[in-house]
Amino acid sequence: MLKRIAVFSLLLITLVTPSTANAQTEVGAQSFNYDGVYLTQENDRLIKGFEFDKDQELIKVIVNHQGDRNRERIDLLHQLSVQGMDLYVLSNLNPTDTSEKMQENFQEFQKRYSYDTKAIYQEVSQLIEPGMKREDVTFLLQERIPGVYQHQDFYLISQPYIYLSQNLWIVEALGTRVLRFELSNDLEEITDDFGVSYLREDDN
Amino acid sequence: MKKLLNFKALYLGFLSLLSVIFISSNSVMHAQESSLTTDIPFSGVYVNQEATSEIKELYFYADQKVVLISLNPDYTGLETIFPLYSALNNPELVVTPQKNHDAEAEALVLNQIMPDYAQIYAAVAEEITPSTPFAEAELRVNFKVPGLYRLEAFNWSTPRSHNYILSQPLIESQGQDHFFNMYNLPVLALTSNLNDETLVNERGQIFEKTADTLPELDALIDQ
Repeated sequence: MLKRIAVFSLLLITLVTPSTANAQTEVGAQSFNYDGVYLTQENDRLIKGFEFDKDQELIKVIVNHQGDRNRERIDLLHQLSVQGMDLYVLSNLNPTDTSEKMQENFQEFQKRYSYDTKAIYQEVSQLIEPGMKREDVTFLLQERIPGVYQHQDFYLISQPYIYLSQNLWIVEALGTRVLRFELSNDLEEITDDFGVSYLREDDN
Repeated sequence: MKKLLNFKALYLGFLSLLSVIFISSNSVMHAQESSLTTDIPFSGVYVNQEATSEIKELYFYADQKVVLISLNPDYTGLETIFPLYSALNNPELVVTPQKNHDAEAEALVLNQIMPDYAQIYAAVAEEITPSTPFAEAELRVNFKVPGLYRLEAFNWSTPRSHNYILSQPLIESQGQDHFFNMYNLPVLALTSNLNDETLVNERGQIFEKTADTLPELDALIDQ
Protein backbone atom coordinates (compact mmCIF):
# COMPACT_ATOMS: atom_id res chain seq x y z
CA MET A 1 0.00 0.00 0.00
CA LEU A 2 2.70 2.41 1.00
CA LYS A 3 4.60 1.47 -2.12
CA ARG A 4 1.58 2.31 -4.31
CA ILE A 5 1.15 5.68 -2.57
CA ALA A 6 4.81 6.48 -3.17
CA VAL A 7 4.65 5.60 -6.83
CA PHE A 8 1.39 7.53 -7.29
CA SER A 9 2.86 10.56 -5.52
CA LEU A 10 5.95 10.45 -7.65
CA LEU A 11 3.85 10.27 -10.78
CA LEU A 12 1.68 13.15 -9.63
CA ILE A 13 4.69 15.33 -8.90
CA THR A 14 6.15 14.59 -12.31
CA LEU A 15 2.95 15.59 -14.06
CA VAL A 16 2.38 18.77 -12.03
CA THR A 17 5.95 20.16 -12.08
CA PRO A 18 6.44 22.31 -15.18
CA SER A 19 9.41 21.55 -17.36
CA THR A 20 12.29 23.99 -17.07
CA ALA A 21 13.01 24.57 -20.70
CA ASN A 22 15.89 26.70 -21.88
CA ALA A 23 15.71 30.01 -23.79
CA GLN A 24 12.38 29.88 -25.46
CA THR A 25 11.50 30.72 -28.99
CA GLU A 26 9.52 27.53 -29.21
CA VAL A 27 6.90 26.28 -26.84
CA GLY A 28 5.25 23.08 -27.89
CA ALA A 29 3.90 23.55 -31.40
CA GLN A 30 4.27 27.36 -31.27
CA SER A 31 7.35 29.10 -32.70
CA PHE A 32 8.16 32.78 -33.03
CA ASN A 33 8.46 32.52 -36.78
CA TYR A 34 7.99 36.14 -37.74
CA ASP A 35 10.41 37.22 -40.42
CA GLY A 36 10.46 40.37 -42.52
CA VAL A 37 9.06 43.87 -42.16
CA TYR A 38 5.76 44.63 -40.43
CA LEU A 39 4.32 48.16 -40.51
CA THR A 40 1.32 49.87 -39.00
CA GLN A 41 -1.04 52.25 -40.79
CA GLU A 42 -1.41 54.38 -37.65
CA ASN A 43 0.78 57.39 -38.41
CA ASP A 44 0.67 58.89 -34.93
CA ARG A 45 2.59 56.01 -33.35
CA LEU A 46 6.26 56.47 -32.50
CA ILE A 47 6.77 52.86 -33.45
CA LYS A 48 6.23 52.55 -37.17
CA GLY A 49 6.86 48.84 -37.26
CA PHE A 50 9.24 45.98 -36.81
CA GLU A 51 11.72 44.10 -38.89
CA PHE A 52 12.29 40.54 -37.73
CA ASP A 53 15.34 38.56 -38.78
CA LYS A 54 14.74 35.06 -37.57
CA ASP A 55 18.07 33.64 -38.72
CA GLN A 56 20.21 36.38 -37.18
CA GLU A 57 17.98 36.68 -34.11
CA LEU A 58 17.49 40.40 -34.54
CA ILE A 59 14.52 42.71 -34.16
CA LYS A 60 14.56 46.25 -35.49
CA VAL A 61 12.04 48.57 -33.91
CA ILE A 62 11.40 51.10 -36.66
CA VAL A 63 10.81 54.60 -35.38
CA ASN A 64 8.36 57.14 -36.75
CA HIS A 65 9.91 60.47 -35.75
CA GLN A 66 6.64 62.29 -36.45
CA GLY A 67 4.65 60.10 -34.06
CA ASP A 68 3.95 60.81 -30.42
CA ARG A 69 2.15 57.73 -29.05
CA ASN A 70 3.84 54.76 -27.29
CA ARG A 71 6.62 57.05 -26.12
CA GLU A 72 7.21 54.96 -23.00
CA ARG A 73 8.33 52.01 -25.12
CA ILE A 74 10.80 54.11 -27.08
CA ASP A 75 12.06 55.67 -23.86
CA LEU A 76 12.67 52.20 -22.44
CA LEU A 77 14.61 51.14 -25.52
CA HIS A 78 16.64 54.32 -25.36
CA GLN A 79 17.42 53.74 -21.70
CA LEU A 80 18.60 50.20 -22.42
CA SER A 81 20.70 51.36 -25.37
CA VAL A 82 22.47 53.90 -23.17
CA GLN A 83 22.87 51.52 -20.26
CA GLY A 84 24.33 48.69 -22.31
CA MET A 85 25.10 45.16 -21.28
CA ASP A 86 28.10 45.96 -19.09
CA LEU A 87 26.44 48.63 -16.98
CA TYR A 88 23.29 46.51 -16.68
CA VAL A 89 25.37 43.68 -15.24
CA LEU A 90 27.17 46.05 -12.88
CA SER A 91 23.93 47.61 -11.70
CA ASN A 92 21.77 44.54 -11.37
CA LEU A 93 24.00 41.53 -11.04
CA ASN A 94 27.13 41.01 -9.01
CA PRO A 95 29.22 38.05 -10.18
CA THR A 96 31.23 38.13 -6.95
CA ASP A 97 28.14 37.98 -4.71
CA THR A 98 28.10 34.43 -3.46
CA SER A 99 24.50 34.41 -2.27
CA GLU A 100 22.44 31.67 -3.86
CA LYS A 101 19.85 34.01 -5.37
CA MET A 102 22.43 36.32 -6.93
CA GLN A 103 24.41 33.41 -8.34
CA GLU A 104 21.21 31.93 -9.77
CA ASN A 105 20.26 35.28 -11.35
CA PHE A 106 23.71 35.74 -12.80
CA GLN A 107 23.88 32.25 -14.24
CA GLU A 108 20.43 32.59 -15.76
CA PHE A 109 21.45 35.90 -17.30
CA GLN A 110 24.65 34.39 -18.68
CA LYS A 111 22.76 31.43 -20.14
CA ARG A 112 20.52 33.81 -22.05
CA TYR A 113 22.91 36.58 -22.96
CA SER A 114 26.49 35.35 -22.81
CA TYR A 115 28.75 35.93 -25.76
CA ASP A 116 32.36 35.25 -26.69
CA THR A 117 33.88 38.66 -27.37
CA LYS A 118 37.14 37.29 -28.75
CA ALA A 119 35.43 34.99 -31.23
CA ILE A 120 33.08 37.76 -32.35
CA TYR A 121 35.88 40.24 -32.99
CA GLN A 122 37.85 37.57 -34.86
CA GLU A 123 34.83 36.77 -37.00
CA VAL A 124 34.03 40.41 -37.70
CA SER A 125 37.64 41.30 -38.56
CA GLN A 126 37.42 38.77 -41.38
CA LEU A 127 34.19 40.27 -42.66
CA ILE A 128 35.59 43.78 -42.99
CA GLU A 129 35.90 44.91 -46.60
CA PRO A 130 37.89 47.83 -48.01
CA GLY A 131 35.88 51.03 -47.89
CA MET A 132 33.81 49.97 -44.90
CA LYS A 133 33.19 52.71 -42.40
CA ARG A 134 33.61 52.34 -38.66
CA GLU A 135 29.84 52.44 -38.22
CA ASP A 136 29.49 49.50 -40.64
CA VAL A 137 31.89 47.44 -38.55
CA THR A 138 30.13 48.49 -35.36
CA PHE A 139 26.85 47.23 -36.81
CA LEU A 140 28.41 43.85 -37.54
CA LEU A 141 29.41 43.66 -33.87
CA GLN A 142 26.00 44.78 -32.63
CA GLU A 143 24.32 42.02 -34.63
CA ARG A 144 26.30 39.49 -32.62
CA ILE A 145 26.43 40.98 -29.12
CA PRO A 146 23.19 40.91 -27.11
CA GLY A 147 21.81 44.31 -26.36
CA VAL A 148 19.77 47.25 -27.56
CA TYR A 149 21.44 49.69 -29.94
CA GLN A 150 20.10 53.03 -31.08
CA HIS A 151 20.37 54.04 -34.71
CA GLN A 152 18.97 57.04 -36.47
CA ASP A 153 15.72 55.45 -37.60
CA PHE A 154 15.47 52.30 -35.52
CA TYR A 155 16.48 50.46 -32.39
CA LEU A 156 18.24 47.17 -32.90
CA ILE A 157 17.40 44.46 -30.38
CA SER A 158 20.17 41.93 -30.83
CA GLN A 159 19.88 38.36 -29.62
CA PRO A 160 16.65 38.91 -27.63
CA TYR A 161 15.20 36.35 -25.29
CA ILE A 162 11.73 35.43 -26.56
CA TYR A 163 9.24 33.19 -24.80
CA LEU A 164 5.55 32.51 -24.63
CA SER A 165 3.57 33.51 -21.59
CA GLN A 166 -0.22 33.43 -21.34
CA ASN A 167 -0.71 33.66 -25.10
CA LEU A 168 1.69 36.56 -25.44
CA TRP A 169 5.13 36.45 -27.00
CA ILE A 170 7.44 38.23 -24.58
CA VAL A 171 10.59 39.85 -25.97
CA GLU A 172 13.26 40.55 -23.40
CA ALA A 173 16.49 42.44 -23.85
CA LEU A 174 19.08 42.70 -21.07
CA GLY A 175 16.68 40.96 -18.71
CA THR A 176 14.00 43.61 -19.35
CA ARG A 177 10.65 43.05 -20.99
CA VAL A 178 10.59 45.38 -24.02
CA LEU A 179 7.92 44.05 -26.37
CA ARG A 180 4.85 41.84 -26.22
CA PHE A 181 2.93 40.39 -29.14
CA GLU A 182 -0.28 38.44 -29.24
CA LEU A 183 0.01 34.79 -30.10
CA SER A 184 -1.25 34.17 -33.60
CA ASN A 185 -0.70 31.58 -36.30
CA ASP A 186 -1.10 34.23 -38.96
CA LEU A 187 2.37 35.35 -39.98
CA GLU A 188 0.99 38.15 -42.17
CA GLU A 189 -0.02 40.27 -39.21
CA ILE A 190 1.29 40.83 -35.73
CA THR A 191 -0.43 42.71 -32.91
CA ASP A 192 1.32 44.31 -29.96
CA ASP A 193 -0.05 44.65 -26.44
CA PHE A 194 -1.44 48.12 -27.23
CA GLY A 195 -3.70 46.43 -29.77
CA VAL A 196 -1.81 47.96 -32.68
CA SER A 197 -1.64 45.75 -35.75
CA TYR A 198 1.32 45.58 -38.06
CA LEU A 199 0.95 44.06 -41.50
CA ARG A 200 3.69 42.21 -43.28
CA GLU A 201 5.27 44.09 -46.17
CA ASP A 202 5.94 42.18 -49.35
CA ASP A 203 9.56 41.47 -50.13
CA ASN A 204 10.73 43.67 -53.02
CA MET B 1 83.76 108.68 -63.19
CA LYS B 2 83.41 109.44 -59.52
CA LYS B 3 79.65 109.36 -59.87
CA LEU B 4 79.86 106.00 -61.64
CA LEU B 5 81.99 104.56 -58.88
CA ASN B 6 79.55 105.86 -56.27
CA PHE B 7 76.68 104.29 -58.15
CA LYS B 8 78.51 100.94 -58.36
CA ALA B 9 79.29 101.05 -54.64
CA LEU B 10 75.68 101.84 -53.89
CA TYR B 11 74.50 99.08 -56.19
CA LEU B 12 76.88 96.51 -54.68
CA GLY B 13 75.90 97.58 -51.21
CA PHE B 14 72.27 97.14 -52.11
CA LEU B 15 72.92 93.64 -53.51
CA SER B 16 74.85 92.72 -50.37
CA LEU B 17 71.98 93.89 -48.22
CA LEU B 18 69.53 91.81 -50.25
CA SER B 19 71.79 88.75 -49.89
CA VAL B 20 72.00 89.18 -46.14
CA ILE B 21 68.24 89.48 -45.90
CA PHE B 22 67.72 86.41 -48.08
CA ILE B 23 70.21 84.25 -46.20
CA SER B 24 68.84 85.34 -42.84
CA SER B 25 65.25 84.58 -43.78
CA ASN B 26 66.25 81.12 -45.02
CA SER B 27 68.01 80.45 -41.75
CA VAL B 28 64.95 81.48 -39.83
CA MET B 29 62.77 79.27 -42.00
CA HIS B 30 64.99 76.26 -41.43
CA ALA B 31 65.06 76.94 -37.71
CA GLN B 32 61.26 77.03 -37.61
CA GLU B 33 60.81 74.12 -40.00
CA SER B 34 58.17 71.90 -38.46
CA SER B 35 58.10 68.13 -38.35
CA LEU B 36 54.91 66.12 -38.63
CA THR B 37 54.89 62.92 -36.66
CA THR B 38 52.74 60.46 -34.77
CA ASP B 39 55.29 60.27 -31.94
CA ILE B 40 54.09 62.01 -28.81
CA PRO B 41 56.95 64.17 -27.46
CA PHE B 42 56.08 63.80 -23.77
CA SER B 43 54.96 61.08 -21.42
CA GLY B 44 53.28 61.11 -18.04
CA VAL B 45 50.58 63.00 -16.20
CA TYR B 46 50.40 66.80 -16.29
CA VAL B 47 48.04 68.67 -14.00
CA ASN B 48 46.66 72.20 -14.17
CA GLN B 49 45.87 73.52 -10.70
CA GLU B 50 43.86 76.52 -11.86
CA ALA B 51 40.24 76.23 -10.76
CA THR B 52 38.94 78.09 -13.81
CA SER B 53 40.68 76.14 -16.56
CA GLU B 54 38.84 73.90 -19.00
CA ILE B 55 41.41 71.10 -18.99
CA LYS B 56 42.36 69.73 -15.59
CA GLU B 57 44.73 66.96 -16.55
CA LEU B 58 46.61 65.60 -19.52
CA TYR B 59 48.03 62.10 -19.62
CA PHE B 60 50.39 61.40 -22.48
CA TYR B 61 50.58 57.68 -23.08
CA ALA B 62 53.45 57.84 -25.54
CA ASP B 63 53.75 54.08 -26.15
CA GLN B 64 50.16 53.87 -27.35
CA LYS B 65 50.16 57.33 -29.01
CA VAL B 66 47.16 58.32 -26.96
CA VAL B 67 46.40 61.41 -24.88
CA LEU B 68 43.84 61.35 -22.09
CA ILE B 69 42.24 64.76 -21.71
CA SER B 70 40.47 65.16 -18.40
CA LEU B 71 38.22 68.18 -18.17
CA ASN B 72 37.43 70.32 -15.17
CA PRO B 73 33.79 69.52 -14.23
CA ASP B 74 33.42 72.98 -12.66
CA TYR B 75 34.49 74.87 -15.77
CA THR B 76 31.83 77.25 -17.06
CA GLY B 77 33.69 79.12 -19.77
CA LEU B 78 33.90 78.68 -23.53
CA GLU B 79 34.39 75.02 -24.33
CA THR B 80 36.85 73.83 -26.92
CA ILE B 81 37.12 70.08 -26.43
CA PHE B 82 33.44 69.12 -26.61
CA PRO B 83 32.81 71.03 -29.88
CA LEU B 84 35.87 69.33 -31.35
CA TYR B 85 34.57 65.98 -30.16
CA SER B 86 31.26 66.68 -31.88
CA ALA B 87 33.01 67.62 -35.10
CA LEU B 88 35.49 64.75 -35.03
CA ASN B 89 33.17 62.06 -33.69
CA ASN B 90 32.72 60.67 -37.15
CA PRO B 91 36.02 59.03 -38.03
CA GLU B 92 35.08 59.22 -41.68
CA LEU B 93 35.30 63.00 -41.71
CA VAL B 94 37.53 63.54 -44.68
CA VAL B 95 39.66 66.63 -44.71
CA THR B 96 41.77 67.44 -47.70
CA PRO B 97 45.43 67.38 -46.68
CA GLN B 98 47.05 70.74 -46.92
CA LYS B 99 49.03 71.17 -50.10
CA ASN B 100 52.15 72.44 -48.39
CA HIS B 101 52.80 69.16 -46.65
CA ASP B 102 55.34 66.88 -48.19
CA ALA B 103 54.45 63.43 -49.51
CA GLU B 104 55.37 61.72 -46.27
CA ALA B 105 53.21 64.09 -44.24
CA GLU B 106 50.32 63.65 -46.67
CA ALA B 107 50.60 59.91 -46.29
CA LEU B 108 50.39 60.29 -42.53
CA VAL B 109 47.22 62.36 -42.79
CA LEU B 110 45.64 59.98 -45.27
CA ASN B 111 46.45 57.03 -43.03
CA GLN B 112 44.79 58.88 -40.22
CA ILE B 113 41.65 59.35 -42.28
CA MET B 114 41.46 55.82 -43.69
CA PRO B 115 42.74 53.35 -41.12
CA ASP B 116 43.00 49.66 -41.91
CA TYR B 117 40.00 48.45 -39.91
CA ALA B 118 40.52 44.78 -40.73
CA GLN B 119 44.02 44.92 -39.26
CA ILE B 120 42.90 46.96 -36.26
CA TYR B 121 40.00 44.71 -35.31
CA ALA B 122 42.15 41.60 -35.81
CA ALA B 123 44.74 43.12 -33.48
CA VAL B 124 42.08 43.84 -30.87
CA ALA B 125 40.77 40.28 -31.21
CA GLU B 126 44.27 39.10 -30.29
CA GLU B 127 44.36 41.29 -27.18
CA ILE B 128 40.98 40.42 -25.69
CA THR B 129 39.51 37.32 -24.06
CA PRO B 130 36.10 35.67 -24.48
CA SER B 131 34.84 37.46 -21.38
CA THR B 132 36.10 40.94 -22.26
CA PRO B 133 33.18 43.39 -22.04
CA PHE B 134 32.07 44.90 -25.33
CA ALA B 135 32.77 48.42 -24.02
CA GLU B 136 36.37 47.54 -23.21
CA ALA B 137 36.94 45.91 -26.59
CA GLU B 138 35.62 49.04 -28.30
CA LEU B 139 37.90 51.20 -26.18
CA ARG B 140 40.84 49.18 -27.44
CA VAL B 141 39.67 49.85 -30.98
CA ASN B 142 39.47 53.57 -30.15
CA PHE B 143 43.08 53.49 -29.03
CA LYS B 144 44.05 52.34 -32.52
CA VAL B 145 41.69 54.38 -34.70
CA PRO B 146 42.60 58.08 -34.97
CA GLY B 147 39.96 60.27 -33.40
CA LEU B 148 38.75 62.16 -30.35
CA TYR B 149 36.55 59.95 -28.22
CA ARG B 150 34.62 60.36 -25.04
CA LEU B 151 35.89 57.93 -22.44
CA GLU B 152 32.85 56.43 -20.78
CA ALA B 153 33.25 55.24 -17.23
CA PHE B 154 33.06 51.49 -17.01
CA ASN B 155 34.18 48.99 -14.48
CA TRP B 156 36.75 51.28 -12.96
CA SER B 157 36.85 51.46 -9.21
CA THR B 158 36.67 55.26 -9.41
CA PRO B 159 34.52 56.19 -12.38
CA ARG B 160 35.85 59.22 -14.22
CA SER B 161 33.71 61.76 -16.00
CA HIS B 162 34.53 64.45 -18.52
CA ASN B 163 37.30 62.37 -20.02
CA TYR B 164 38.30 62.26 -23.64
CA ILE B 165 40.82 60.19 -25.50
CA LEU B 166 42.79 61.79 -28.31
CA SER B 167 43.96 58.77 -30.22
CA GLN B 168 46.77 58.68 -32.75
CA PRO B 169 47.04 62.45 -33.25
CA LEU B 170 49.42 63.99 -35.72
CA ILE B 171 51.87 66.25 -33.95
CA GLU B 172 53.55 69.20 -35.57
CA SER B 173 56.51 70.45 -33.56
CA GLN B 174 58.37 73.73 -33.99
CA GLY B 175 61.08 73.78 -31.41
CA GLN B 176 59.37 73.70 -28.05
CA ASP B 177 55.92 74.34 -29.56
CA HIS B 178 53.81 71.25 -30.23
CA PHE B 179 50.51 71.18 -32.08
CA PHE B 180 48.33 68.10 -31.71
CA ASN B 181 46.06 67.74 -34.74
CA MET B 182 43.27 65.43 -35.72
CA TYR B 183 42.21 65.43 -39.37
CA ASN B 184 44.00 68.77 -39.76
CA LEU B 185 41.99 70.34 -36.93
CA PRO B 186 44.00 71.59 -33.94
CA VAL B 187 43.10 69.96 -30.65
CA LEU B 188 45.96 70.88 -28.34
CA ALA B 189 48.72 73.49 -28.61
CA LEU B 190 51.42 73.16 -25.96
CA THR B 191 54.79 74.73 -25.31
CA SER B 192 57.16 72.69 -23.22
CA ASN B 193 60.05 73.86 -21.14
CA LEU B 194 63.49 72.39 -21.76
CA ASN B 195 63.12 69.33 -19.54
CA ASP B 196 59.41 68.77 -20.40
CA GLU B 197 58.39 69.13 -16.77
CA THR B 198 56.03 71.99 -17.57
CA LEU B 199 53.64 72.59 -20.44
CA VAL B 200 51.84 75.81 -21.27
CA ASN B 201 48.79 75.92 -23.52
CA GLU B 202 47.66 78.68 -25.85
CA ARG B 203 45.67 80.27 -23.01
CA GLY B 204 48.81 80.58 -20.89
CA GLN B 205 47.66 77.88 -18.49
CA ILE B 206 50.40 75.84 -16.91
CA PHE B 207 50.43 72.05 -16.64
CA GLU B 208 53.03 70.56 -14.33
CA LYS B 209 54.16 66.99 -14.49
CA THR B 210 53.05 65.08 -11.42
CA ALA B 211 53.50 61.42 -12.34
CA ASP B 212 54.99 59.16 -14.96
CA THR B 213 51.97 56.91 -15.31
CA LEU B 214 48.22 56.71 -14.72
CA PRO B 215 47.88 53.20 -13.26
CA GLU B 216 44.21 52.60 -13.97
CA LEU B 217 44.54 53.43 -17.67
CA ASP B 218 47.85 51.57 -17.94
CA ALA B 219 46.31 48.49 -16.39
CA LEU B 220 43.51 48.55 -18.92
CA ILE B 221 45.75 48.94 -21.94
CA ASP B 222 48.41 46.51 -20.82
CA GLN B 223 46.04 43.63 -20.04
